[in-house]
Amino acid sequence: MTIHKDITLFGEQISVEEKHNVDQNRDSIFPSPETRRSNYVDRISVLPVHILQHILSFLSQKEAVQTCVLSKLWRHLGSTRPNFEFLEGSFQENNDNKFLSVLDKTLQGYRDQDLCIQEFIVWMSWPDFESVSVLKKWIPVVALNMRRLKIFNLCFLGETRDYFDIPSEIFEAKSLHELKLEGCKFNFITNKVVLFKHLQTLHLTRVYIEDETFEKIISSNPLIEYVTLNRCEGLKTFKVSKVAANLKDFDLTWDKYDHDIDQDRSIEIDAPTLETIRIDGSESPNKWYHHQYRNYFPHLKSLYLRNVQLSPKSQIFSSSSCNNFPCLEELELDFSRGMEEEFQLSSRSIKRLSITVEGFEIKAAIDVPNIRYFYFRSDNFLPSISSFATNNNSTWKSDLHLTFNINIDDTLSWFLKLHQMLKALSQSEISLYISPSERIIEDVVVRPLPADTTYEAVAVEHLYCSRHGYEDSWSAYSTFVNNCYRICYPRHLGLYEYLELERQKQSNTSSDNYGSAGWN
Amino acid sequence: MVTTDEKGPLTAKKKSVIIRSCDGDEFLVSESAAVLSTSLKKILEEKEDRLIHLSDIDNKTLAMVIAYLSTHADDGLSDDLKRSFDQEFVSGKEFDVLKYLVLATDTLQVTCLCYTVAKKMADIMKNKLVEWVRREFDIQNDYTPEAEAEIRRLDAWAWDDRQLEDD
Repeated sequence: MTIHKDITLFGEQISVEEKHNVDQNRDSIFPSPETRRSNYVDRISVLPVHILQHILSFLSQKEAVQTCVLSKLWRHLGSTRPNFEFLEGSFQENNDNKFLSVLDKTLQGYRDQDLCIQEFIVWMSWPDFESVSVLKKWIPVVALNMRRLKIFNLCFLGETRDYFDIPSEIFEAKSLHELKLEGCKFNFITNKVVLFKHLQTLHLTRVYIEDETFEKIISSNPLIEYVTLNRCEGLKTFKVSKVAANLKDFDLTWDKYDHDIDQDRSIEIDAPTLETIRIDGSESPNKWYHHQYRNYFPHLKSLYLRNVQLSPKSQIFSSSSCNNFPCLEELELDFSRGMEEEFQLSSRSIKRLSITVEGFEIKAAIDVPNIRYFYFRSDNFLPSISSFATNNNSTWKSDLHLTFNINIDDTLSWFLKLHQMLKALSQSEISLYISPSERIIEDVVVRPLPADTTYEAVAVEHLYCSRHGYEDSWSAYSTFVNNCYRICYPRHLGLYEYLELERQKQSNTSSDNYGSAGWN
Repeated sequence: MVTTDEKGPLTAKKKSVIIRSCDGDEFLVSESAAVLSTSLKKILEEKEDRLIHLSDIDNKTLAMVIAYLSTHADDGLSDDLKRSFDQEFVSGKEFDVLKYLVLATDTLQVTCLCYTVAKKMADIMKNKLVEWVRREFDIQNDYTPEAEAEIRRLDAWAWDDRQLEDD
């Protein structure tokens, strides 16, 4: 097999040379295939330069540069590949080899030979006087001269609030597909500036950006698909409107240590193409405005909300408005406020549902006929699940992580609620984990369920009653476990509890407390 | 000889094209699979004929590329299945097989497969000493010892005492 890049069509040679956006300059500084072929040809060097550089692009900058000594053919391949990738963390500095001077020298090499950079990736610790001056010199060159620049990724990984002022020329990189910044600051931009054109991915971590700049970037890049804003400052309102006609993935995380934590922030999303929304409100008071009946997410598959106040309250998943999420398969609500009232969820599409609550009680009516997995975690209260409707004939699973609060006034009603919840979930394979909310003190008594009442015990696949916390009061633990066995019969037990049970069984064989428990 | 690909025989509804390798064998491929190659797509847009002769792709390589294209044109397969197919596709293949594959995918402009194969080739070179790469690929070192030492000195930053595998 030869390495001609021609396709023959009925004997007619169609040159497909031009199809490759091969850097002409790049090919000219290396021996041509013809020259190479006349000489000795080894197993790898027969490949054309752009393929060799494509292969080298998967190596680290250091490994790529090392290939320069393989043979004369390889002299400049690794140091002039289209991806420029300098990571300070992988750089061993000594007096002769400063990270910044090697970076500067290498960029100069690209400039001198007029070679293009398609991916510009620089990670360093923090901006200081020297690095700022080197970057301010080169970023405009990279942004304006590299006509095929696709990826621009500049990260300052040191957790400092000294942001690097990103030169505004970056906005003029028209070919850019992906912009990833960390520890940078966008200065106010004027109307004149071109704000990219083909951006598909915007990924900002610890970046200072104001509402206006963000909205401008979104509105001038209709091709944008992925937006990630992680611990950014300066933003007060997130407006993602229909202009973002290709947006698939929106991920927003607040800074836990945000200075303006008391400020009310709002998120308004109205992009019908979205497939994934993930909002982590951290500690700050966020509101997610969902305009009922108006906002429609026909493609949304996955929704994760943590510490987000829903607006209008809690009704967004009720049967009347759940039509707005016809494809939603994964719903995760984590400590989310706005659920204190009656929580209604009705969806035929949901397959995975995860609810975590902390510090308040919820009342829920859940109608998810096609569920495959249900996860529930609560730090204190049991939910009052009035119904959990499914029509799923195949097996599905539920994981319940509950906390038993010994101090509540009415421990009996806690067990009755648990019983109700288990009954609601009885069609699923239940794994139940219960731990006490605090260390039980010696004189605390757990009241046993009344002996004269019969409870319809629910089959539970796994039961784990943590003994941790009962060290001072084994009788409380014993009563607690007995109560559990009255309302459910587990097929498997946590190992520790199993040994405990065996011991109890031997010492008290006459007791019929566990008789109905039918283990395998 | 006409080799039918897995998508079934030529039917009135499904358009097919015939691709001939440099060895002269012909492969029947559905048009939906063929157009995943940007080069073939361009040719099909320009020409009415349904026979394409690829003068520089051999039987074995072409069969592999067509298997890839047919799998990826199959709407019945999930993206996950296609991804795991891609991983299977390159795993355990000899470097020389990958080399002809990468050339073929470059010519035919099958970007995804070109990426997967090039990455696999890079994985073979990863964490290896220069001496290992020279030996493995029969690369003749045409530098004088002085010239090589000079290059190492110029890019000294890349030559710290990191341990690399030499096996």
